[in-house]
Amino acid sequence: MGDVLHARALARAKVRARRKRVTLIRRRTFWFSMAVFAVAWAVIFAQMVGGHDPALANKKKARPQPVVEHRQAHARPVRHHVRRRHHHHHHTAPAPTNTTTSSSTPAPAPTATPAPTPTPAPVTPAPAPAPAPAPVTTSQS
Amino acid sequence: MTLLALTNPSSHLFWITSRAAGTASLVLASMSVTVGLMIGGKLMQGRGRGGDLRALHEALALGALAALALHGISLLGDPYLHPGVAGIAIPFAGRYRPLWTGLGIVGGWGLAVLGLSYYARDKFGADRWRALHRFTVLFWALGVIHSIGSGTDARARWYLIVLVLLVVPPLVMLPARLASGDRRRAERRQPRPRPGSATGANSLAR
Repeated sequence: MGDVLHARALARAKVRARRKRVTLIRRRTFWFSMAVFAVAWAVIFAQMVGGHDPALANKKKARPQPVVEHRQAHARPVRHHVRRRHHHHHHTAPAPTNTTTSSSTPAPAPTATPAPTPTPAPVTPAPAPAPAPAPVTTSQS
Repeated sequence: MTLLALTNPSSHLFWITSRAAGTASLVLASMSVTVGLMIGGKLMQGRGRGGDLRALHEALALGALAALALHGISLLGDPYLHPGVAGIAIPFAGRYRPLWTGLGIVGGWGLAVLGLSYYARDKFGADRWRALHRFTVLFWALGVIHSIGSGTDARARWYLIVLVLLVVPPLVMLPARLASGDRRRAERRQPRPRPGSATGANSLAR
C-alpha cells in the first residue's frame, strides 16, 4: 500500500515537473518570438531612417525623370518624332526639308516660307517606319 | 524635402510592422519546421528530449501563426498598398504582385490549417493527421518563395543571410527525414518472424 502511494506521488511529481518544463519552453519561445519581431522591426525602421530602405531607395533612384524620358524617347522613335515636330512648330517656322507629312494632307507650298533656318540635326536619326498621324493637326494650324 | 517624405517612417508604421511580422513569421516557421523534422526523423533522441522538442515545436508554430496573422492584418492599415480583406485573405485576388502574394496566402492558409488541425486530430485519426501534417513543409516552402518574390527586404543583405541560415537546415534535414520514414514504413510492412520458425530463430541468434 505504501509502495503504491509512493509510486503515485512520484508519478505526480514527474507530471508536475514535465508541465513546468513545458511552461518554461513556451514562455521562452514567446519571449524569443517577441525579440525576433522587435529586432526585425528595429532593423527595418533604422534602414528607413537611414535612407537605405530597399523599396524607398529604389523610388529615390527613379526620381531623376529626364534621363528616363530621354531613354524612353529613344526606345520609341515614333513618339520621339512627333514630340520633335511639335517643338519645331512652336519655336521655328515649319521646315520644308521635313518629308514626314502624310500624303493625304495638302502640304503648304515651300515657296511661301522664307529661307529655312538651319535646324539642329537630331542626335539619333530615328526613322519612323510608319509616321504618326499627329502632323496633320500641326500643319493645318 | 521629397527625400524626407519618402524616408519618414511615421507614415509607414503599418508597413514596417507587416514586414517585421513577416520576417518573424518566417524565422519561427522555419525553426518550427526544423524541430518538426528533428522529431519525425528521431534525430535527437534521449530521455525526455522528445517531449521537450514537441513542446518547442508547438510553441514555435503558434508563434509563427500569430506573426503571420499580424503580417496580414497590419497590411490592412497601410494607406499606400490598401489591399483590403480580400487582398490579404484570398489568393491571387490582390493587385500587388498577385502571383507571389497569392503563393504566400496559400502557404499561410496551409500552415494555419495543418498547424491548428493538431488540436482536432482525435476527430479524424492521429495517423491521418500525421500524414497530412507532412505537407506543412510544402506550405512553408511557399512562404519562403513568397518572401523572395514579393518581400521588400528580399534584396537586403541582412535578410538574405537570415534566409539562408533558416532555409538550409530544413533542406538538409528533409532528405534524412524522408529516408527514415521510408525505412520505418518498410520495417512495418515486413511480417514479424515467429519465435519458433527458422527465420525467427536465426534473427534471434543474430
